[in-house]
Amino acid sequence: MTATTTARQDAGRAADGPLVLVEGVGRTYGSGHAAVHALQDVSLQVAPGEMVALVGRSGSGKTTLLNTIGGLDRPDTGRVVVAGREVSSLDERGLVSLRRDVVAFVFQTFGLVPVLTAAENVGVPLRMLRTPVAQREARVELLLDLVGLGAHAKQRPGQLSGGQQQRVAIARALANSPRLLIADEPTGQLDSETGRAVMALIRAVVEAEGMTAIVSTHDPVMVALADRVVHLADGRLVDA
Amino acid sequence: MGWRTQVLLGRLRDQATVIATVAVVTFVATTLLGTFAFLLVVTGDDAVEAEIARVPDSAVALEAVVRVNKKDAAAALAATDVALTSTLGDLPFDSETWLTGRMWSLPLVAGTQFAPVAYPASTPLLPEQGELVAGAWPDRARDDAGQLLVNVPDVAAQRYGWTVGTVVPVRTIGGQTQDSWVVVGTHRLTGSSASWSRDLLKGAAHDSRYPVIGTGGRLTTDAWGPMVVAPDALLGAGTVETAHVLTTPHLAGAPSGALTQTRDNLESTQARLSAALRDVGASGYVLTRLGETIDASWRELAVTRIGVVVVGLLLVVLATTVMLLAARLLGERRAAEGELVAARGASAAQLRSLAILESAVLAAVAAAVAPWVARVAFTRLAEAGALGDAGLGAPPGIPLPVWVACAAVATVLAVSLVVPAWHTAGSSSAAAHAGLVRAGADLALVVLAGVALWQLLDYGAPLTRGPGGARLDPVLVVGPALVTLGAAVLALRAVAPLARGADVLARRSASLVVPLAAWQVSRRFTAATGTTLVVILAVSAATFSHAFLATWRTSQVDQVDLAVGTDVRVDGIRGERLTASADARAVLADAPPGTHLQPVADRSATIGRAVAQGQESSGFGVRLLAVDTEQPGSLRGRADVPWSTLVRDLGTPEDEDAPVSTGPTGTPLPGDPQWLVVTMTAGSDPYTAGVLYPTLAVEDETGVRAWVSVPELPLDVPSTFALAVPRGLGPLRLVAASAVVTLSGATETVADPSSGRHGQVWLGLQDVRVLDRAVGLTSPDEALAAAAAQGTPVALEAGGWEAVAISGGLERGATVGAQVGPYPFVDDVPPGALVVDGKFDMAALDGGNGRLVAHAWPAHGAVRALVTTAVAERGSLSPGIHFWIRAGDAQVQAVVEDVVPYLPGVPRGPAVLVDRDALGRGSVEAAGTDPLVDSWWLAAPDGDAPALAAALARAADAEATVRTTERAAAVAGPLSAAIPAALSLVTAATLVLVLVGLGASAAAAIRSRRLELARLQALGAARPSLVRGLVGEHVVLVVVGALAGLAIGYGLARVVTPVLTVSSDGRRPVPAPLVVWQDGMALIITGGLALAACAVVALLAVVLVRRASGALLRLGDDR
Repeated sequence: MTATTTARQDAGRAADGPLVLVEGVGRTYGSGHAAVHALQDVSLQVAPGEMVALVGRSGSGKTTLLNTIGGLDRPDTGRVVVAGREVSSLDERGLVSLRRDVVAFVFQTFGLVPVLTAAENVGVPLRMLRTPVAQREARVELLLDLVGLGAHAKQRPGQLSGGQQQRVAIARALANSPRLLIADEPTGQLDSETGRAVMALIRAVVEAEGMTAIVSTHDPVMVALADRVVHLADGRLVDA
Repeated sequence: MGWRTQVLLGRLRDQATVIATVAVVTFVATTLLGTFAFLLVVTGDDAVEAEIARVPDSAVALEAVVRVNKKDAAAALAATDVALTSTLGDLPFDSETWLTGRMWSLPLVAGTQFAPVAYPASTPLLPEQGELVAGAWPDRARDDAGQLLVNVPDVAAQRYGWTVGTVVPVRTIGGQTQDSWVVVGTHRLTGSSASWSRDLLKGAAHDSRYPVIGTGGRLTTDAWGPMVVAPDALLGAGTVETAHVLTTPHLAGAPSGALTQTRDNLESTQARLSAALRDVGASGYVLTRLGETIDASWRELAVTRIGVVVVGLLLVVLATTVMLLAARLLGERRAAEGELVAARGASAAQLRSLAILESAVLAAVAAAVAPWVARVAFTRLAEAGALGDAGLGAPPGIPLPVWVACAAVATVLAVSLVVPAWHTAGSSSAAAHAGLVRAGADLALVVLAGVALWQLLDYGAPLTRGPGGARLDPVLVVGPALVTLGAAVLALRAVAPLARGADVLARRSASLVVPLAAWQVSRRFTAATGTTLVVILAVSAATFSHAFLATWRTSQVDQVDLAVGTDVRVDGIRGERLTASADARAVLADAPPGTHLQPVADRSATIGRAVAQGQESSGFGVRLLAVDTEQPGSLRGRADVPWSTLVRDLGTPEDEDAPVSTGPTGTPLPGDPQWLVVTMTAGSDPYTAGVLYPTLAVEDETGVRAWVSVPELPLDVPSTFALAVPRGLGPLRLVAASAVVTLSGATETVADPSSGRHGQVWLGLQDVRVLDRAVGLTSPDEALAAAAAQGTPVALEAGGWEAVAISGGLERGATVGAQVGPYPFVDDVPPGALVVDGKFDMAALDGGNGRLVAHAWPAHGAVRALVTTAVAERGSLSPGIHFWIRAGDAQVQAVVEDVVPYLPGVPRGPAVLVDRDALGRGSVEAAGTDPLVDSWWLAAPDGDAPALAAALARAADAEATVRTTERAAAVAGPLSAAIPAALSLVTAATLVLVLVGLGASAAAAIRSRRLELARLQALGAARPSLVRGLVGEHVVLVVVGALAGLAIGYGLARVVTPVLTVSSDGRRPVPAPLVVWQDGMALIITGGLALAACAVVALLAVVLVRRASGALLRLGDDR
C-alpha cells in the first residue's frame, strides 16, 4: 500500500463521520401509470471500514441504491454524500474523480475488458491515474497475488473461470485503493463454493485495505460476513 | 400475418437505426452505380450522334457522282435519290444537285484553228457564290422561241463581245445538233476555287488550254463555263454529262437506331446506286466518309466506356465492402436475437429464409428508388460538368440498362447482407475454420489479381479486337478492380505486424487511452480490418482515378498535339498553289505577333535504297512530310529530344563544305507580275530536229512555286511567249527553268563517228519582260502586243544559276550563263539572257525524254531526313545511309539524319520528315515541277488559332484542324466527356462510401463495446477520453488504411494507368502516355478522405458513447 492511500484512509477515519450518507433518496423510472418507484425516501449511513450487506428481493431497489451511491444514477429526491462529496450534485468531472479516487465497483458480470489480460485489466485504474509503469506493474503483481491469480497474469478473461474473473475484478477494484467498494451481486454468476471464496476474499481485502464496502447479495454467507445488513423492500428500507 | 412478416415488422420497429444504416448503404451504393449506368447509356447512341453532329458536313455527306451518258437526266437523278435516301433511312437530310451539261462548240473565232467550247451547268452555289455583273439569272429553261437562257462568265462575254440579249449559235462537238443560247446576264464566280471543285473548270470560268477532243491533249482551245442555266434546262435526255448529288444527313436528334441502320445500309449503297442507274442507262459511284466517321465514333465510344466501366467496378468493390461492414453491424445487433430465436426452436433454414426475405425487400426498394435518384444525380452532373458542354443530358425516363444495373447492384449488396447471416445461422464448421478460409480466399484473390495484371499488361489494354473493331473485354476490364482488391488484401496482411508493434508499445505506456486503442486494433484485428479495407479501397480508388484522369487527359492532349503536328493545319489545298499562298497570307495580314504560316508537303511517297548509280532497290510507301525546319517552334508533339534539335540540320546540305544558300535566290520579278513575256531559243549540236517543252518556276516569299509552261519550242525556232503568272502576293522571283527535251532523227545525226553519241542541247531565255497585273491585260495576245511598251525588262544573268542535264536517269554536265557557244543564236544573245547548255546522249533522246534544268541556287545534293523507326526497319536505314524519295514527279536523293519513333502530324507508321525548301530544291534539281504544297501549317497563339484557322479554311475551302479545338474535343467531346465525369464521380462516390462505411463500422464497434465502455466509465474513465480512445483507434486504422491505399493507388497509377490509357481508336497511344501522379493532389485526396472518415467516427463516438448505465453494467445485456 502506498503512503498516499494510507494517509487518505487515516484522514477519513479521523473525520469520525459516515463515509456514506444517504438522505431521503427517491428514484422513479417512467411516469404516469407506468411509473416504477425504485427507491422511496431511503436514508442510510455507512461508517468508514464498515461492510454492509444490502439484501432484498429482486426488484427491491438494491441496484438502484448502489448505482445512486456510486454516481451511476442520480436520485430524483434526497441526497447522497460519499466521503464528504455530494454525489447527487457532482458534474461529470466530479463523478470521474469520485470513481477514480473514492469508489470502486465489482459487477455481477465481472466487467473485465475482454481484449486485455488479467494483469492489464487490473492495471486499467492505475493507467487512468497515469501511475508510472514500474510502480503499476508492482502494484498489479501484488494485487494478483493477493487474489491468488499471480500465475494467471497473462491470461485473458475468456481463458479464466468465472471465479477467477471475479477475483481479477476485485483486484482491479482494489488497484487504486478506493475508500468505498460497491459490489452488486458479486457472486450472482458463480457457483456457491466459488461464491463463498469470493465473499471471503472481499471480506479479507476490506479488512486488509481498511475499506468500506456495500455489497448487494442474496448469499447468506455474504450476509453473515457483513458488519451490518440492510433490507430493502419495494424501494424502502425495512431495517436499517 | 406470417411469422416472418411479424419478425420483420418487429425488427423495423426495434432496430430502426441499424436497419436505416444498412438501407442507406444499399441505397447510396445502388444510386452511385446507377449514375454510372446513366453515364454508359448516355455515352451510347446519344454521344455518337452528338459527336457526329459536330463533325463537318464533308465527313458525313454522301455524294453520288453520276455519269448520265446522255440518257434521261431526270430519271437518273430520281434513281440516285432512291439509292441515297434508302441508305439514310430515317435520318433527315438536305440534298443539293450539280448538273453539268455536255460541251458545246461556240462559233469559230477568226484566226484560230479550233472553235472554243462551253458547257451549260446548274449549281446550288449560285447566286450566293456569284456576282451578277449584268442582266439576270435564268428563271426558266428556254424562252418562247425555244432558245436556252444562259448567264455567261463575264470574261467570256468580254472576249466575244456578248451582251445581254446576244444569241449565240452553238453545236455539239463533232455532232450536227445545233442550239441557240440567249445571254440573259453575265457573272463572276466568287468564293475559293476549291469550293468549285465540282465545276468542270473548277470555278476558273476559262481554260485557255482545254484539250481539243480527239487530239489526245496535244491541241488545245479555249473552254468557258459554267454557262449558268435553270435546273430544269438540263433535265431532258442527252443534256447532262455529269451530275453530282450531295446528300447531307442531319444527325442531331436522329431517331434512335437510325445511325446503326444507316451504317449497315452504307455497305450496299454503291451496289444499290449502280443497280438503280443501270436501269436508266447511267452509271455512277458514291463518295462518302460517313461510314468511317461512324466507325471512328463507335471505336472511340468503346474506348470511353473502358474508363467508365473500370472505375465503376472499383466502386462496386468498394460498395460491396461497405455493405459487408453494414452487414456486420446488423449481425452484431441481432446476435442476441438470433440466439433467442434459435433457442426457441427456429431452424437454420428458417433463419436463412428470414435473412433472404429481409435482403430481398431491401434490394427491391433500393432497385425501385435508386434509378430515379441516380437520374437526378446524373442530371446535376451533366449540368455542372463537361457532359452538358458536350451536349449530353439525361435521357427521358429511366433507360432499361439503368434499371438492370441498379437491380444487379442491389442484388449483389443484398447477397453481401445475407452471407454473414447465413454463416451465423448454421455454418458452425465454417466459423471454426474462418481464419483458414479467409487465408485461402485472400491467397486466391491475390493469385487472381496477379493473373489479371499479367493479362492486362500482356494485352496492353482492356480491349480485344474483333471484326467489328475494338471492344471491351469483360475479363480484362475487371483486371484493375481485381488488382486493387488483391493489393488491398496484401496490404491488410502487412498491417498486422504493425498492429503487433503498436501492442508492444502500448504495454510500455503509462496512459490508458492510446494503449487501449492500440490493443483494440491489434487484438481485434479481424474486426478492425473492415474499417481499414474500406479506407484502403476508397483511397486507392480515388487516388488512382485522379491519376488516371490526369494521365488520360495529358495523353489525349499529347496525342492530339502529335497528330495535328502544329497549332493549325489546313489540309487538302487545291488549285494553283501560288494563288492559294497569296489568299492564305492575305487573310493573315492582321494576324497577331507569333503567327507563322508555312506551306507543307504532306503526302504519300515512295522511298528506296540506292544500290548504285542507276540501280535502285524496290521502294515502299511512306508518309512524306516536308516542313520549314527553320521554324521548329511550329512543330508540336511531345518528343524525347526536342524537335528543334532533331530538325536543326535538315535544311543544310549533306556536304558540310558545300556552299549554303540562305534567303531568297533567283531573279526578282518587279511589281505584281501577271504576264511573263520571254523569247526562247533552243538548239543542238550536232544539229537535229526536236522539241523542248520549257517551264519556268516562279516563287513567292514563302517558297511556294508556280510553274508557267510553254506549249512547245521547236529547236532553232526562236519564239516569244506570254506566260500567265498566277496571282501571288508580295515579291516573286524566277528561280528555275526546266525543259523536257525530245529529239527526232538524232540517231542518224550522231551516227557520224566524228561526233560520237553525245551532243549538246541548249535553251536560251532572253528579252524577258514582266507585265504588271495593274496593266489589266487579259489575253496572251494582248500581253505580247504590250510587252515592248509596257513590260519591265528583267535581267536573268545574275542570280547564281546552276544547271543539270538529265537523261536515262543519269545526270550529266551542264553549263549555265551567257558564256556558252559558239552557236548561231548565241551571237545574238543580248545582255540579261540566260543560256542553259546540257550534255546528252543524243541517241537516248531520239524518241525519249531528257531534261535540262537551271536553278538559282547551289546544287543541294542529298536531302537530310528524319525517318521513323518503321521506315528504318523496313528499309534497313540508319543515320548516314542514303536513299531516294519519289515525291511528285521527281526522285530526290536523301540521307538519313536520325531515326525517330514518330513525327509531328504522323504519329504512326512509316514516315519521313525533310526540310521543305531542301526537298523542293532537290526536286527541281531532279527536274521535278511539283509545287510540293499540300497543307498550310500555322503557328499561332492558342486564343487566336480558331479564328485564324476558320479564315484560312474559308480562303482555301479546305478543312482546318485546330490543335486547341481538337484538344478540347479529345477530353470533353461527347464521346470522351464521360471519362472525366466518371472519374470525378469516383472521388465524390468514394467520399460518400467512406462516410457511410466508416459510420457503419464505427457504429458497430461502439455498439459491440457498449458494455465495455460503460465499465470503463465506472472504473473512472472519463467519457471524453473514451471518445478520444475510440477516435484514436479509428485514426490508427484510417491512417494505416490511407497510407496503404495511397501506396496502392500509386502502384495502380504507375502500372495500370498506362495500360488503360488508349487512343481514341483503342490502340496504344502515341506518344506513349506519361503517368501523371500529382503528389499534392494525391495527398489532398488521401487527407480529405481520412479526415472525413475520422470526422464521422468522432461524431458517432460523441453521440453513441453515453454515460454508463447502472442497469447495463449490472445486467451486461444488449439493452
